[in-house]
Amino acid sequence: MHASLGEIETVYRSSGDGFYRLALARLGDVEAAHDAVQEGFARAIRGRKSYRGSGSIEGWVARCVINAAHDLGRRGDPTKPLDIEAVSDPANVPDRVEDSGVREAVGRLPQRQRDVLFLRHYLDFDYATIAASLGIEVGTVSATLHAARSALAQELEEVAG
Amino acid sequence: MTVDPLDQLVANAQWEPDWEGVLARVGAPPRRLRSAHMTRRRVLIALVILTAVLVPLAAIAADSDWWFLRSGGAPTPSSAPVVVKEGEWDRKSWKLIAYPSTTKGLCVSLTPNNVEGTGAVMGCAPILGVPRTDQTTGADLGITYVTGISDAFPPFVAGPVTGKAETVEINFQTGETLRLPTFSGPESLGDVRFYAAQLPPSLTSPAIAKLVGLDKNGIIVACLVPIAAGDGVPPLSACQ
Repeated sequence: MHASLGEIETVYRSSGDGFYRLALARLGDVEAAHDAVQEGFARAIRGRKSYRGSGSIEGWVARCVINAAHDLGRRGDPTKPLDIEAVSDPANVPDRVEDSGVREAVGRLPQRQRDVLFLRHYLDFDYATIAASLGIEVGTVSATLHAARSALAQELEEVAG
Repeated sequence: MTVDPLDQLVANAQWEPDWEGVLARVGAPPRRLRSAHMTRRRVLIALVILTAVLVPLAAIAADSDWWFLRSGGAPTPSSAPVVVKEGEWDRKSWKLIAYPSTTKGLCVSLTPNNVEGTGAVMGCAPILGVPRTDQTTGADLGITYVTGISDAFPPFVAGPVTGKAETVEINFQTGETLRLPTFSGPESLGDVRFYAAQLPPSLTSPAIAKLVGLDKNGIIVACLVPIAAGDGVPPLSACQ
């Protein structure tokens, strides 16, 4: 069983917005986020014969988008705390999301926790779909999500001072 | 009302779907054109447009009444289309037209001089040497192409290439190779040259394996490997 072009397109049209928000949360740059979604879906098309039918196509495509965002993010990870001098002049940071406090807090979460959190929040994936997307056990999703939410709440308290 | 912190991260998110752009990344023909080809519609038949998006054309005010500006969705010109070259194949004349767009880079059309525009194609892509606007999306390419096959016009290949290229070499998937001289365009378009050729009758399929632009010393200055959907081959791997 392979993923068809039509099935991938259906996911694109129904969930593209959610994928975009996930990529934007991950990368903090509107153009990079758009690029990540486009490239992620392109990779899904190129590799559609590798979809074996286990888990939803949406979850399988999510892995492609996350990997694309990860590759783009290796050029510079804006979820890490931004340089203070750059943040102080927003004109020097075009297309960046001006939310340094939240971004800073999210940036301190482990990557796995961020991925689980983003898939749950922006795409409303159930635990099974998240597990399939990330190649982890469903039980691990539940624990990771709980840990991520707790850690984020704590980080936000620290940022708020 | 408390805003979820994760929603704050994406407060200004404005998703603009571009499925044709995804298809262009994998080198697949836009879906509308595939169905036009299969149903043998006359108005517009193009086989492959690589990383150039053929979009529904929009009625946009322009100096000339070009077909691609008459019907909905063409990239908005940032300056008027110009005729780069006129020619004739099998006693059928054509024009190669180009214009810089505000968002999609350089748009290039090969348009037969028949009333219905049968066999006309158009594609757009950011090209190295052509000035970008602040709205231009996508990375610059050194070379790209359009091809056309129709019942009413000879099959052809044409496109833009970076201004350093004096020759373009096209390797087809059949194993055949076409080598063409490039020609200049108006300076207003930037540091870009063009090529256009009727495909030889011996060519059984216009599917392109690789395009290369060569400077006067034979050095590669532009390269592109089209990839079919599902191929999995990185687009520039054969060029490195």
